[in-house]
Amino acid sequence: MTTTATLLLRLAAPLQSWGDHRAVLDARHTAAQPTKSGVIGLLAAALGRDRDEPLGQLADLTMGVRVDLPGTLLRDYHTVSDHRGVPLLSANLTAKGRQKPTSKPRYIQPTERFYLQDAAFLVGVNGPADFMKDLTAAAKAPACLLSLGRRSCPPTYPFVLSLTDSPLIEALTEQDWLASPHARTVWQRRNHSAAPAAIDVPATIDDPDGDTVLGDQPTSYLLGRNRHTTRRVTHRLITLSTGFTPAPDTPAGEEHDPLALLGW
Amino acid sequence: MTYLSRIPLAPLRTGARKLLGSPQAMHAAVLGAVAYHPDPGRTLWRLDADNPHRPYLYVLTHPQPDWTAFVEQAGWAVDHANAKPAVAAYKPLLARLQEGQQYTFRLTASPVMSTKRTELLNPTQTARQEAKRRNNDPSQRRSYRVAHRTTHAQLAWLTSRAHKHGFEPLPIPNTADPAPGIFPFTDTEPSPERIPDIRITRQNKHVFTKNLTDQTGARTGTTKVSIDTATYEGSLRVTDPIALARALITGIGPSKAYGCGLLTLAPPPPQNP
Repeated sequence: MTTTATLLLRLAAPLQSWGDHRAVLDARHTAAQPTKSGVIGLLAAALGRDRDEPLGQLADLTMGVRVDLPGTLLRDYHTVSDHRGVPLLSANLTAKGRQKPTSKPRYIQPTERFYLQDAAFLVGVNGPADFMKDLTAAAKAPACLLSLGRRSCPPTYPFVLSLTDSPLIEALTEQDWLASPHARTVWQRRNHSAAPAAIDVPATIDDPDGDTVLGDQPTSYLLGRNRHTTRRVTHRLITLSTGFTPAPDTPAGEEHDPLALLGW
Repeated sequence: MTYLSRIPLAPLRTGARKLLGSPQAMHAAVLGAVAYHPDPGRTLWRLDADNPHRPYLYVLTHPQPDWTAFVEQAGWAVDHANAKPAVAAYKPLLARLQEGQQYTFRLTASPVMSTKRTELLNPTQTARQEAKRRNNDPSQRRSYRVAHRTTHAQLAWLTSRAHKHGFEPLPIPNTADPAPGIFPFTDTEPSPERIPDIRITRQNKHVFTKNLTDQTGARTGTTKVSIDTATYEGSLRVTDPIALARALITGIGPSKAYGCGLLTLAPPPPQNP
């Protein structure tokens, strides 16, 4: 039996955007958490792999995502136009196979893109120990520029947290809460000055017996012919210590708690 | 016996998303918890999604509920103290209610009025009423149910009913701290008007289609259901424990199948010294 290791990555940035097969027409949506396709693609970029190379050992990695700060959704209103001031092209083709300009000329096409703002995720990737060592070195000195789901979303420092021998779930549980001092202040403001000693954060972990099926296991990144298959995951809660000093008369995060009168 | 349950939902699960998006599906799933009881009576529920990443479902059932199937579908399928449904008997609270006690409360209700003023109807309702009138349908002589949509009318709807339900809203204390970033109110003259401590924290509109059936249960068509809801929060003083207990058990207002009407009490906020 080969030994395994877990690489812990911190995916936190002003903006992130994780495509989830809903890129329909003019809207680019984001998933609520990093997708496996996005994270494996990011690691492949760190290794300097080409899009047409087979995934190899990257395809067999096990991934877990811990949502330390879920972030908020940003909708970006976006327009497309031609800088020469000519009409945009339509889907109709000429006899030579060129796109015709829009008849009833159209100069601006509005689109929308969605981003996660100020989110912080802890991503654990588990695989054979020797391969994980190479992967960690590559993630620390990436061959290509890395981005969190979209080219316009670079990651912030520190990106690589550690490489441990612990199994995936233990590694995700042992790591401290990723919220920065400022993010902790913002968290408290959003939660009505609550100061609990510990909070529960959700985590999504690869599990062959899982109860949820996600369609983001990559099989090919070939441009225009990228393919995905499904994977099974479980959703669980991980208790983390916050570092707050709980005051006796501040609410424990729950705004209205009817069970407090019923002996809970 | 009556039980209050709190079930944490896992919003990333497909089953939970279906329930969060559809009051009809949620109602069906909630009734599943008391499905094996011959006469479960009226079940009330409310979705508290203050934190959309950690929504809670509160349910009041008369028989003891079994949330196993519900959790398999939409809950956290993990062994964690904060992920499991909490079920508490309601009787201790009902027995403890006494005149003069103070509590904070939360209620999601569908404030409506009945009116004969046809100008308040929308085009669809007007067409329906016209059809009834042409067919000489006796039901057209009844008043029409119209939703309150403004905050003012929705607040008045609850304050005017408070006495009937056995409570009165507490006034906002004059010594209340100003909101963050607002200068303190320097006028020392106390306001003669008592401002009731009831606020609307959320307003929602649900529109969905519902199957119509005849007496044999066969489907005869569909109709559009539209519900305007308001979530009230505030503090109250008990004036009539019996009436309040009835309101707690049977709910307040219409659309009780769709997550409206469940009133819950919580301990009063700590008093400012």
